[in-house]
Amino acid sequence: MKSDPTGFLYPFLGAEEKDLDTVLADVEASTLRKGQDVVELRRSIDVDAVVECGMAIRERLERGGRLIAFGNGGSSTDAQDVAGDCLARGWPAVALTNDAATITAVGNDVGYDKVFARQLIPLARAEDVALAISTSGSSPNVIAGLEEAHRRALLTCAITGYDGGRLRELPWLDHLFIAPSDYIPRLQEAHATIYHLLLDVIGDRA
Amino acid sequence: MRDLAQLVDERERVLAALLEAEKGRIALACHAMARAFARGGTLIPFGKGPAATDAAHVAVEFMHPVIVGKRALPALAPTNDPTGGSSLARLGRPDDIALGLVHGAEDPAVTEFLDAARERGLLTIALTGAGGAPPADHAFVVPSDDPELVQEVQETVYHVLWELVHVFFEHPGLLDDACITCGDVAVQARVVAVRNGTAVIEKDGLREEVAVELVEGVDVGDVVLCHAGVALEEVQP
Repeated sequence: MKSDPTGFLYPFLGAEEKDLDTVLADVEASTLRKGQDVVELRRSIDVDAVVECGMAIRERLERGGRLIAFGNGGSSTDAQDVAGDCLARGWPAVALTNDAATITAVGNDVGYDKVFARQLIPLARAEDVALAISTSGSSPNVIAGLEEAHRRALLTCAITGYDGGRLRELPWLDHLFIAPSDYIPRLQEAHATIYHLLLDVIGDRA
Repeated sequence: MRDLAQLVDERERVLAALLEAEKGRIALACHAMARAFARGGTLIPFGKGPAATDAAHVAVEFMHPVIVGKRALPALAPTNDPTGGSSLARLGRPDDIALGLVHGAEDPAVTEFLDAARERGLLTIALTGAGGAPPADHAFVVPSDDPELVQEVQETVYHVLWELVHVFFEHPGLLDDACITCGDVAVQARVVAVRNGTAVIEKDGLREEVAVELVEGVDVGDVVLCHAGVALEEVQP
């Protein structure tokens, strides 16, 4: 059996040659187990904390605030999704990764660490909400974005994974949700549930 | 506000039902995708509205794997192109994989995307919500009318497709496109694409390009008798 650094992903799948039916059966079993893993993560969501955060976001939006969402990679698509869902409910919302020109300009001229903070400086107002999504909890540009949002008195909310990463060390962070897993696909699936539940609490604009 | 704990339970129920019912077909879809990638294919995920964010998520998942050591697999999300010019007609090649994403029962733009993909001989995969019947080789219908719940279940499905496609790369013997028409006897196979005097035929999930000069008016969906890389005659249904 050859050495496989990612073998831990499929603990019962050996790398030796097998026939197709055996591999297909292994893949089926693995599929079911992955489904069970995300169920456990979703059960760990603190729904009372979701209600509290959702009400706080709604209070800002009712005062004329905007939801400003950001993240990297798959989390950037989550930020775009939550902003789109918010718009569909009648609330103003934007994802900072929508603007490839600004992202690449700031990334090139200043540094990738500043791509969100730089956008918040001209865009953000005190009544707005910053919603950051980071699987590791330690992405420097996400931390810098939240710091800028906090300086400008925005409501600061974050969704993360692992053990919370550097986000846990921000004493001023208003709301933090951790999907306690070190496996990104599953914790991202739990992230989608967390922000969809938040949207349910935020509700539609009257 | 709905009962949040109940919403979590509902997600559990729908995800478990889908994976239990479809685990066999998910495994087959992973195998088909792995073979398409092995042939040099590109994954083209497509969705509109909220599903456009899933298309972008799928593309980054394959292009820049979160697991160190996993190979990058080519993927392009045409929904990221604000010109809208990155259509399947411009991008798609027969070795590619088209993945349509719909959170409801149907999205005409995705149906059109899948139809165009099938016409061009791509492998087609579709994810929809309840009531969907998308035109695709592998279709997975999430049994729920709640678009946000459907989206979350689909996220698990496309993550699993990404994760388990890699299992087949550990078994290269399962990736070869065996020569379908190389045996001693002619075989019957379905035509999945026609272009420039050749057709792509499919048999038992394997594909091969064959010459069609000997058969008049070959069309997608026809069954042809083939031997040694040549279609000999159409088999009447």
